[in-house]
Amino acid sequence: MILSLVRAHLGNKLVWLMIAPLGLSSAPWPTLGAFGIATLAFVVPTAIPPRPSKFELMLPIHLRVVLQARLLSAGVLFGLPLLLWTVSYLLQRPTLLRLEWVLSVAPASAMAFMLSYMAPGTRRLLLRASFNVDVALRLAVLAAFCAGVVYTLPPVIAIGVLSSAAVVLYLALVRAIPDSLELSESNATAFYAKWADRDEVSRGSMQTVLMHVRNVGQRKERYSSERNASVDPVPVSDGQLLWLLLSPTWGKALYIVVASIAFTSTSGIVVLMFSFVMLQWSEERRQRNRWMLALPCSHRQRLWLQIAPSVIALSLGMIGGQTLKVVVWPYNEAITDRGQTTETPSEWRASPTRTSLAYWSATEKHTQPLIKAPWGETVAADTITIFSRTLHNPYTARESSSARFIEWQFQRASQAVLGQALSLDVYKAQPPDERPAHPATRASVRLAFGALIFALALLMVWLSETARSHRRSGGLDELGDGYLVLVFIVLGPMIMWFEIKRDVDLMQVCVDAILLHIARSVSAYSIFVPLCALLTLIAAYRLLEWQFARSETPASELAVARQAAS
Amino acid sequence: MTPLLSFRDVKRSYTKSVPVLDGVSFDIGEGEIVGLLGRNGAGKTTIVRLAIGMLFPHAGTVELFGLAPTTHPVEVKRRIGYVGETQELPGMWKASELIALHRKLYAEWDGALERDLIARFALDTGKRIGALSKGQAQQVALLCAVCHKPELLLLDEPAGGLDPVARREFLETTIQLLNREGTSVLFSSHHMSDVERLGGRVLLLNEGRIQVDRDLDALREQVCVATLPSRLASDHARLAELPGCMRVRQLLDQIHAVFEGTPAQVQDQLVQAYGEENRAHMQCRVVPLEELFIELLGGERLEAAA
Amino acid sequence: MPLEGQSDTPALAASDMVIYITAMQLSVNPSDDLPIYRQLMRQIMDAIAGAQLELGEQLPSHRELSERLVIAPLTVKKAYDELEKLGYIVSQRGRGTYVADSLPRRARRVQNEHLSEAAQRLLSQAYLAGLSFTEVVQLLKAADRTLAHDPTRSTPPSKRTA
Repeated sequence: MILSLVRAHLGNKLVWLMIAPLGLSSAPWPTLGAFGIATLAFVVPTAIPPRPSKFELMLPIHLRVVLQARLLSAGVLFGLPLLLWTVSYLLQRPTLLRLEWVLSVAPASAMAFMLSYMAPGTRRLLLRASFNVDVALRLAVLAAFCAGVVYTLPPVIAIGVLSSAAVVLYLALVRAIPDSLELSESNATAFYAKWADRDEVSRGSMQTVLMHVRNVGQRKERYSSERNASVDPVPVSDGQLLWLLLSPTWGKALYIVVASIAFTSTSGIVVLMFSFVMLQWSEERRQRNRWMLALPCSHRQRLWLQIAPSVIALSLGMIGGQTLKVVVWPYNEAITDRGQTTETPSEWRASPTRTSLAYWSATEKHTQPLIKAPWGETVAADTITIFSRTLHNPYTARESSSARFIEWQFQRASQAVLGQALSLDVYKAQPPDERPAHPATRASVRLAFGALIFALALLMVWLSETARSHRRSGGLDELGDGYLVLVFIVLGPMIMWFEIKRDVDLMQVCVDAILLHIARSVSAYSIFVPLCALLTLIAAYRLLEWQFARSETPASELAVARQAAS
Repeated sequence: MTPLLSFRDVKRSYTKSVPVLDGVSFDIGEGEIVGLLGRNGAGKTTIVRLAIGMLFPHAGTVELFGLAPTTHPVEVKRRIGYVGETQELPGMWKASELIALHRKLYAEWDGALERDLIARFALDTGKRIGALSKGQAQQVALLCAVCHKPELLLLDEPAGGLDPVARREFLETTIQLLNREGTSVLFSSHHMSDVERLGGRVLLLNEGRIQVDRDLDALREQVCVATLPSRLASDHARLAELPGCMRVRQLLDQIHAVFEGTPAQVQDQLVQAYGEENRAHMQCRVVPLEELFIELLGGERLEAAA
Repeated sequence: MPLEGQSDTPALAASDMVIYITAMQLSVNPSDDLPIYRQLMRQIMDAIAGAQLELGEQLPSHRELSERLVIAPLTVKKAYDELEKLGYIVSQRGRGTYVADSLPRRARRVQNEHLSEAAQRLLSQAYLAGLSFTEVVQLLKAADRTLAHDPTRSTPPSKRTA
């Protein structure tokens, strides 16, 4: 029985489409892969939802079997990528492998599943013991993965602690299932009656009959007591309404604010990841706000209600992250990028003249140009090959170079990046005060850039639902907006790969390149840059608004209608 | 006079080359009650969604009060009310909050009617919508749809999945609204008895087109079903070519044909076509709407194979 | 005779499927062979024939009847209009609808057609049950006695004057 349920769960190809990219992408880059595996803990419960299906509930089986089948399916979905990851880790970094890490991922992930099954919100397997802090719980799950405390313990104890925690959790889970484990027909009916009206997905004659019985009973009671009671409208303030309109998914904002502060301060690719999260978030809001389609609200109002929470959260995160960046890493921010891994063997990672890729010049493939100072000192430039184009850093200086050479190169670099030649000592002594506009400029460009990506992503979604578009049947389109998720899941790791493997922050390079182009025509510090960013923002928004008014909100029933039509 | 709702050659599909609506045209005038009938997937919901601008037509025009609902959403939606089978009202909201939002959005909100309906439905407005039963949630939806006294009420299987009591209450409220405000109604339903009660005009959708568009009473009295033994009319085409024939289908050893006209007229017509000696074998009768629906849209049953 | 408790019942009261207008009962059955307006017409005509409705008595308003029976107001209007065309009821603008003071006789030919249909049905039922023609006539006489009053007769039975 369990196996046939599991087969039913795993037979859904959508599940695999969700899991496969994450699983596969974890293989080539084991370090990064660990992150992907951790992400699976969040993805798998959505692929195998903890809520039992009506079909399962009507079967004359123990609820425990339903739970076990679900856990097993989830385990398979999690286990395969985990296996892949372990094997690739062993193959690529046999020396670095700490077996207990790999081994403890299993119980930790098991805990993650089970915790998420206990989380409220979807009223999962009818668990009586449910916690009310969904977000906190998920963060705790994340923490369990990253728990340095556990991993610093001796391996055997670490694995033991995690495993026993998982077992305890499982027992708690099983105990929390109602006493009437055998779902006899009457139990199932009572159960169904209790839960049927909470589920919008399945409707059927069964439900109608049961609802009928229930409603008649309820109504009789009420009619007698409240029949003639005059009900005054409950006063509800504007603020309350606004909050309600914006609030249903605010729980996620915490994530974004915290994460954006943490990530923006160190890495630029997260702008992209945020666009993705925001995309999902705002799409979820669009579905939730479907009921508003019947209200006399303009497209603009609905658009705002849809994107406002994510925009607010992102802005907060951005501002927080940028502030943090300026305060904590002013020097890093200013002229050098985090040293790109070059093809030059003798790399100097802390080089003060390693500028962002945007300032590098193209060179012939697989050659290493010589940079010559006026007094004859030379150095072979750092090179990097990305997308089959070789670039070199014209400001290369090495540890072995003379102080004069380093100083010369730094002045050239600062001239290029900051627009004024600075001596290294002056720069190190008082970096932020000399270029007050700079961080703001960068931030605004980055914000505009992120917003543009966000807008483009939304456009991609909406374009498929424009007035005159037909959906093709079959293929990726069946995924609906899901294919975008795939794009991002593929694109995300790719960009991340550049960041980790080559130490190239692609987003940063894009932002730098834009800044460079601006700086070549006007001063990089002028008001023109934030103005441009603002204009970009406005343009992105106008584009969104234009497209939003022309796109339909797909309903789940539309899929049904499509099926019926074909 | 501009019709309240007008569809002109509207086409719409969800999958390429599988049109759900394939050239649909009709008007709804003031005070009219129009029932949309059709099988599952015939496009009833699509029509209602097109009318409130949730969907865009792929061809043709949809206009309410002379305005396209997709380009003038606010003006149009102020004047209509909508209740769908799956309204997906926000479950986290309290009913009172949802009502307050509607009160704010519509200038012509009728507070007295609101109180009336709350009392009548015995709604506990302090409850979250997610905690209400389906019938009560639907009542909240109806309340929200009618208290601004819409000129046109769009009901998309509002009673789908409701129990008979809730369905009846829903119908009662709708009829009261008709009485008080003279609201026009476009509704779709699978419950033929509801259609009969609401009366008015019937639009029968079949294969993306409107197959029948006429007054319910006319449909009931001037359309009849003729039953012939299949040996008489083995040639369906001949029967189908008789004037006024709307549908011919075979049911085992009988042919059922739907004709326009009273039973007597149709009987005479058939006698003319097939000869006086067969008069006794040919029966014509008017049938209830449900039967008529099945006669028009039901499938054939050929001779049992075994 | 005034209508019993019709006007003071709130419009939003519970719906009763069958409504009582003095002695007349009205009900509709959507899955009947006849359209609803025809059912209404027939029942009102029966009530007039059976004297549950007095000559000149007031009928419920469109709105009241439509809300009570949960049918569209236009359907009620159609039934009343048809009845008025036939001369059974008269509507007075702003005052309401009443049963006509004198009932029409001109539609005799049409009436006869309907009646002969009913007679055929009655006879075929009776013969199936093994009754003879005289027994059927006796049945009819008995039915006539129980029928309180036929307003089309010029002289009402004496018991109604009491």
